[in-house]
Amino acid sequence: MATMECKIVTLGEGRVGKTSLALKYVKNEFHKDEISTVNANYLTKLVQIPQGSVQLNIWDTAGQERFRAIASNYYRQAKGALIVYDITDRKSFDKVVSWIKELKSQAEKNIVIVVAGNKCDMEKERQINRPEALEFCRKMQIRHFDTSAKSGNGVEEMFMELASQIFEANKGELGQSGRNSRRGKITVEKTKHRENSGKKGGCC
Amino acid sequence: MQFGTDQDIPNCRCNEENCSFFLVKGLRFLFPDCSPCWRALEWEKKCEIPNDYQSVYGKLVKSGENYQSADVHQIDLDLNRTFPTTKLFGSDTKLALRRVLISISLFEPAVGYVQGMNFLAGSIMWHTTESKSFWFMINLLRKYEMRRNFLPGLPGLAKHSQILELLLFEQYPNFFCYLNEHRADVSVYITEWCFTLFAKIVPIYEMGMILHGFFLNGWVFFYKVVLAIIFRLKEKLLCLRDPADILTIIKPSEVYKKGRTNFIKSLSAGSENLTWAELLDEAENINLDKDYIEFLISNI
Repeated sequence: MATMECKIVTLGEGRVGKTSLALKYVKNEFHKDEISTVNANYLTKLVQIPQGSVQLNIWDTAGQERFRAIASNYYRQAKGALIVYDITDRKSFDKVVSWIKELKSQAEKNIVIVVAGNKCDMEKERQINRPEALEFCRKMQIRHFDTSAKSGNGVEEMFMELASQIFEANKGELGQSGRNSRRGKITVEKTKHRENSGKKGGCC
Repeated sequence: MQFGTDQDIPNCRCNEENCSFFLVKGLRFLFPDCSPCWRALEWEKKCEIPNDYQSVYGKLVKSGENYQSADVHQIDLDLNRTFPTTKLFGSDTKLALRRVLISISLFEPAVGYVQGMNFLAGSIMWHTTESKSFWFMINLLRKYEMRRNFLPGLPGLAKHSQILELLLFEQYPNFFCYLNEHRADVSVYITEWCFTLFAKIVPIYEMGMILHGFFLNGWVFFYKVVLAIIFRLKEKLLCLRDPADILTIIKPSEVYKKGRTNFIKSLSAGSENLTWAELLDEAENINLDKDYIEFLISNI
């Protein structure tokens, strides 16, 4: 079966749980006081989805505003982005909006974005209405997940969804490297692509 | 706890390095060591610390007591996430670290607080008093030009990345070409080291050697250590398909779990048990001219 390799990036304000979510997913570890991230961490995991397998290379970035200057180094060429907010912190939710805007204008065109409302084990201290968050993401056409890096709730599900959306969005490319079993279909796409570029050449 | 006395005894064991284990145990039982760390005394000679250093710092602490800002918010978020597994980094030390970091953000408002400073200041505090830690940090920012790393836009980072690329080109052309071919950005690999002087990958007990090298020799020391690490990883690196995989080596995720002992292990070859002291010896033997590095730093 085909294996697709892709880069995904975690974004969001400081201490919302970006590192914790990535670690929970990749290593099934959780630390109450996760060591704070400077610039970025890097983790990988091979995910099996019905369509094939996806190697997720997770770039887990630092949350502090100052590092935003170099954030584009990390989301450049990323196929997927996980934007995290803390359900007990209104400010962290506001940051989600600006990250989505930045990704839509600066990142790869077909980047897959999912949003995680993290720390849902702390329901009592919730500051962001669930319907509000869902409505917001629906408008943006982005999947929203309630997650808890502590209990593990929703974590697996979210990364699986991210992996399969990325697979769908990029399966054309996979064929080009010749590793896809449905080579016939891909070849057509490839030819089309060539035709297009050929035309372009003709115009100029 | 209020800042007032500033008589913190350092946690470091620098002064006992050359004594035998039993002698140390016995002596420590009879006479708790109160003498200042010899390394910190050497650093002082290299730094500019005002005579009234304690009172200036005291005033800053006072004005920072009820101060609220985005920096203070971030410091509070990071405080429990700085050396979380180090026992001796207890609550008193954390409060002292908080005061130091807030005072830096007041003294250097353009810099404020940037993640990474917490590890750096924390490792300095291991060796000296609270107020001196503050002044060491100010010297690192100003005299050693770390300020530029932390300023908005992180201008120092671009500079150090350029210098490292040049050094790689000179010292390790294969690897330089490899990075270029894959359009890998060097800054991705060295940001954390630049911002913390390796404090996230070196155990706090051994950070004294690193700080010592940096206070005595400045950035040339930093580059030597970076090159020594890269030389060590030589064979592994060129076999990788994607330069990003380097990060699985230089940023092993076990860092979270087992403290920092794993990084140095990942540099060991075969059954060898490499120590930081040995790696620093290797770094020292790399032929790199201090004046040349200083020239690059002031001209790029």
